[in-house]
Amino acid sequence: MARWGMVIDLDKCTGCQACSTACQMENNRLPGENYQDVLYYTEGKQPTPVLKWFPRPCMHCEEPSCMHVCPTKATFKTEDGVVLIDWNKCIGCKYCMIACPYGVRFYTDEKPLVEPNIKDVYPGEGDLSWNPPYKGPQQDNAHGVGIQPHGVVSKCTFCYHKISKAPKGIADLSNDDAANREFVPACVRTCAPTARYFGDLDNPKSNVSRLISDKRGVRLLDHTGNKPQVYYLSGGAGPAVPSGRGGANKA
Amino acid sequence: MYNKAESRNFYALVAAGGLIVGIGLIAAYLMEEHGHIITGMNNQIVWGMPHVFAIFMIVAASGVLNVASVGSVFGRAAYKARAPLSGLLSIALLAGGLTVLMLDLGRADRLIVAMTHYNLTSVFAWNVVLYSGLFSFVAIYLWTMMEQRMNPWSKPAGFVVFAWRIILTTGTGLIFAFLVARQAYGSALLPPMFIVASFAWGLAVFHLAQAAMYAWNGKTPGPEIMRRMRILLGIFVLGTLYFVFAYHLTNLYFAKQTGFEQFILAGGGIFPWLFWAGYVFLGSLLPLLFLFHSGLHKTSYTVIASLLVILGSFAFLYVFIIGGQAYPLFIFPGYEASSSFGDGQIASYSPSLPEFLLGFGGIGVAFLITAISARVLNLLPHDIPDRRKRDAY
Repeated sequence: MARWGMVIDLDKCTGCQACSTACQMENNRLPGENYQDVLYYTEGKQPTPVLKWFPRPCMHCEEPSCMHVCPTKATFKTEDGVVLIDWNKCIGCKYCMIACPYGVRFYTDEKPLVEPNIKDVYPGEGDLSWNPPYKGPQQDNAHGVGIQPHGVVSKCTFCYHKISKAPKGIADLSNDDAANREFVPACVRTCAPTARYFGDLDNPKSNVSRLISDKRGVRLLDHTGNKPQVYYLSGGAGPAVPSGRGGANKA
Repeated sequence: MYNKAESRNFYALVAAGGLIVGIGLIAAYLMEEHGHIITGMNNQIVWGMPHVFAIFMIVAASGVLNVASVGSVFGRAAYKARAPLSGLLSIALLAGGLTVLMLDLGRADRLIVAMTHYNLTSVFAWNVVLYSGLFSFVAIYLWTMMEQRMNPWSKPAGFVVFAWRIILTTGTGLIFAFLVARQAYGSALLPPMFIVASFAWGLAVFHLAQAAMYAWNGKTPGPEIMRRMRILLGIFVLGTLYFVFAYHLTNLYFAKQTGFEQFILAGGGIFPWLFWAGYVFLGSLLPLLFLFHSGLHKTSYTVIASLLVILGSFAFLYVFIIGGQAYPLFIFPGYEASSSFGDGQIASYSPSLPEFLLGFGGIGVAFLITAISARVLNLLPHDIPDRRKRDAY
């Protein structure tokens, strides 16, 4: 069984947010509430500050805090290492949202971040929070895929509706592999500078394993012990994640 | 027996309590129907005012049993006379707190899921067992006290309740202590802090209930027991203050925590005001003055002190729960981050009317249970006037 993971090369990422937009379209996200976001921060001080960016999906941790605190096992880990939410079991206690160190979980029926409130324009039917006109065919509540129902928490699924259909034993899901392109997560599929890679972390021959090994891939907030399955690369002068860089550059 | 006027007043009081509960239920329905959009909560501050009410009541439900414990476990006769009221208040507060907590869930209709799918690594799941257990054990404890043939079992039942409530409040503290993600939480100091706070908050509630019951029946409690209970409340308020002081001092010592402490204690808008003016001054120092000053020994001053302790506890919980979430996640230590999703920014929160109404609805539930049960079961503490027995205090 694969253990899916992602590698993001920060030297190649241009901060264009195509990944966020693709994720939003693929997963019926509301404007501003992207499963995959890009964070901005400043390095250096006036007069030479430099704006930097940092893509942040759900880390699909090996030891996910969100899963450990969930009282009903609604948040669970699949055999292939993906952290998902069973919307049929979620009671909406929101404990997972407080427990996640990365801030990548979303609750339904929030105030709109962008006006007009698109949920009023396309009101949901039945249990679903809204009814987007461009929604995909998939609605899999047991794996937290599709349109978010009322009163539950949602998050990035690594596009589980796609990757779960990939052939068994495959090492990488890449745009370069035409036969399996349809199984590639939306953010990886759309990344123009190919800054994102997706594959089996347990397979030493996979491209993601080699990249992590060769380019010293690091994980965000590794000290929490959550062991994210998203790795960051940087061939630049400093470590890939900002917390590992020297104090001289701090804002 | 009760006269006609008294009965009329009682039913008016129950009707008022019922109205508050009804309004609370309407608020819960509105929040269920519309979601977070009609509350002050958002994706950054996911636990709001209802949690402040709920956690206060749950913590006080444990602490109010202190009176019973002093009677049963430590054998003080005057406290034993108050043990049934103590047990009743515990059940009432727990019911009120859990009502608020459950109605604040996104899917309150899935309560059965929470009761049938246990994740043993989740302290929330443990608490389902701990809360249910407290209901059961306190009910049995009340039975052993009120049924004469069961009296020999009263002391063992008191011991079980004493142990259980300490575990329960530990569980409440662990909800926050287990959170490594937030700078406000993730400290082993929190469970003992909650235990000591529960003693103070629960005893303050007991003082209020006891004073109301005595006043309703035109009686006054004995001065000796009042003196002892007043001093006990003062000690618990001091104990809570000590733990809160230690919590902030240790945080201030860690360089990575100083930003958060600066936010809570000095620069965080409403939060420093609530902490210093609400919790420290109004909720701790002023009550201590009322409780320990030699010229302020009337019951009315103890009632005022108890009210202030309860107000202070709300201020403390607001700062702890909402302030703790308002401070942004520490994603890039040393850097200021921003995104379309509010990263790196202090989250704003203004509690809405439905949140307050739901909270007061929970208090209404506790009030109704207390008022009706105390009348039906005649739980007014009867002090022993005899000098010889009074010496057993």
